[in-house]
Amino acid sequence: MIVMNMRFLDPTSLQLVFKMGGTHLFPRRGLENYGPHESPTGEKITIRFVYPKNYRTVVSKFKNILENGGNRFPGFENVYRIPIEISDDIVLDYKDYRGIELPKKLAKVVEEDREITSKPIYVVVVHPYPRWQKRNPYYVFKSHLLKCKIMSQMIRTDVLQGRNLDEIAYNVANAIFAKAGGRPWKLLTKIPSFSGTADLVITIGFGLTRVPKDPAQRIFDRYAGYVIVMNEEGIMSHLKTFVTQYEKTIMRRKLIECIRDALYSALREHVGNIDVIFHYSSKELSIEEEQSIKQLLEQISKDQSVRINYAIIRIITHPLYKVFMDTDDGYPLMASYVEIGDRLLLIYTVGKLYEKITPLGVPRPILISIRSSNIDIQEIDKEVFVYSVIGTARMNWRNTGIFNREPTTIRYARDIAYMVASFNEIVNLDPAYLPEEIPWFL
Amino acid sequence: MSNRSFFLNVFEIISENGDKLLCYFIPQEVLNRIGSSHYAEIKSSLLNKDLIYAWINAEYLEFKPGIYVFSEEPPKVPYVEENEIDEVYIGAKSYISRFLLRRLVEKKLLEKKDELGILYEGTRYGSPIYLRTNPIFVWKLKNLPIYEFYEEFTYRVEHVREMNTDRLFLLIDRSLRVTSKICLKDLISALSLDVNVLRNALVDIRVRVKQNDKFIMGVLSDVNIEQKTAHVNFGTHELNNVTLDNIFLPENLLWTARLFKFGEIEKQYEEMLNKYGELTLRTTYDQRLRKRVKMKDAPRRYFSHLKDLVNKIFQKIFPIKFQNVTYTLSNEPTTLNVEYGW
Repeated sequence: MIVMNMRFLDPTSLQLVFKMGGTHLFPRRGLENYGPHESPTGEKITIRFVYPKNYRTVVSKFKNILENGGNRFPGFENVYRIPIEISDDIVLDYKDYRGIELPKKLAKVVEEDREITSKPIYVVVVHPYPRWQKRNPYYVFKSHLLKCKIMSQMIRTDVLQGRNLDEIAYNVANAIFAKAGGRPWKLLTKIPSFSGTADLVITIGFGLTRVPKDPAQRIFDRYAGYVIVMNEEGIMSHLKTFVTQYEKTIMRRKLIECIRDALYSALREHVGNIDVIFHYSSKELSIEEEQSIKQLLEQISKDQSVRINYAIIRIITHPLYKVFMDTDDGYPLMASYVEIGDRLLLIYTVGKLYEKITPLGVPRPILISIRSSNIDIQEIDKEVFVYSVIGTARMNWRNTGIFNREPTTIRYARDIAYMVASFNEIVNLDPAYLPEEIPWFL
Repeated sequence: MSNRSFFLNVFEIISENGDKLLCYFIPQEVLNRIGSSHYAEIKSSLLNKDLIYAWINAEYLEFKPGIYVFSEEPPKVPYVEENEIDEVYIGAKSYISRFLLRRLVEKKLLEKKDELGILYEGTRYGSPIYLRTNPIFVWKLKNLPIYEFYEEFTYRVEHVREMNTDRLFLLIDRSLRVTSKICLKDLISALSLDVNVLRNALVDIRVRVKQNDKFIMGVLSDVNIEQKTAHVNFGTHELNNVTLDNIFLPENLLWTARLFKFGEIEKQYEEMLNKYGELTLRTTYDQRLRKRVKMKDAPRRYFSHLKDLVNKIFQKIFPIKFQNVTYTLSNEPTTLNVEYGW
């Protein structure tokens, strides 16, 4: 008995835009053929490597690939059309990775670099400590550097050792380029209006995470969260993070404050009708939190004399559902989706795209649940929500591969939460101090 | 594409011999009067009587918020008067019956766990996890089991209303579980590992440390072979003298690559990785290229394993009878109708 429908988006609608409007379905081919969509200001990007001394050989190989290219990566300048300059390395002893302060020799260089107008981007090689470890060297280095307004790119030692260096170089180069202020690509098909009436469409991702007092314990002492705004072309235009004490009212107030800032950052003159698609994952939204968001939207609508159509969508990244096709390989198609009842949509952001298949294993879909909207569910073009998920999944600048499974609006929810909570603890770094327009978390 | 069929990993639950179930409803207003501080007591009272119930907080479809208790006579519930409980008949495949089916499936699986060779392992993302007790594969070195591979499965009962018709489905997923029961002490003596290999392989990786019969995660920061101890960092504190018999390998076998990549063992480790690739449906060994390559038919193989699981486990617990209704499980997965979007 057929009870559910499977639908497909046209793969050509998934194209990305690169320099001078050149388009391609695959990020790497687009970057190589046309160059990045938007370059950072400045004539070059300076990079400084920091690594443990026993990783000197592999880092040296990696640097060479980053600069001059390898089998699959044509080299930074060839891809991004901007040269890089590599500053002197900082080589550390393994003990230098233990504390919560920067090692002296690194601190000295950081002090000098923070005074430079065009600050270098630090590439720091760290051991693969668990995310929940508060004194994880990842957090220690990143927090100190961000406090000095220096961007950093972390590479785990297991990543550097275990996989193809070309692949890693491509992804690291893209993240470095984005952190330097560049925009590697954007969406060709703008996210349309789900109400069918809006002049402006924005997608707001937000997440709330309970941070445990002690690692791997179920005693929580803080909430950490973030609000990210992506425009119709899938480009991040605003990011706000926060850490509050473990108290629901305080956390809710802070979340609403950040969503208010996010909405004001996106409002334009002469826009009278706006669609806002909220994506969230991590902690389930309580009735009070949902109510507060609705009240905020009504207030802004009244104050700014704009009509705001909204839809709040919960994104479930680990659904049990899977789809199979009765072919020799069984792969479901990328950009296909299944409507399960009125409010659930099972979406394949990965799968088979022409002859390419998602890397390794059985592709896992994303499940979205339409929680609430001020537009009648029957009046909504739900395919817009499907595209908002697939589109924002394609906008992950940390990965230059063809497939990205999770939308960027929620992809880094837990990472960001743990980072800002640790930053706050390690160097007393106020989340308000973090950059709002640069994806420092990649 | 229109000639192709698409399937979901869901199997329809069919009801026979009746379409209504008797249950008793305690409205939310009554619960509000009682107060949330007594809710835990109400729940445990229902559980102690082995009564299956659905507690919904908000109105959904035609169901009002409150507690629906599946019972053939009015239940005795603390703080609730007899006249506050309504007798109601609900659809055998309604949204509320979903909770009943979930519990009935769970009960049957637990009843037949020895016969089926399964073990209940707790929940993940709200769904129960079961392990099949016979390992699919055990990787041994010098007769010492290092890693064991088990089939793991989970399920949910889902309700879908389509064109005013209620349907229930069993959504089933399977995966691979890798476990390691070997402690560092045994591993070091069996493989005659020296301190340099050990340091290079394990320092700064995650390990499992046994404390009071529980495993907690830590990061190894140094090893003292002579004293058979190690330093383990737990994030907020560091323990300097954890004995090696209390330290176990991480269950992610890719993190321990450096431990096995030397001498004779390396070849066996590579063979184990080939097997791991096959079992996780990630890679397959190409004899011609002499290396692991991406598995090109992973979903098809997964689907075949899934059907096998349904036949060997789930079909063995159905039919399930409750009141006058008999539930059976479809043998075939749900087929999807294909349409085109943009």
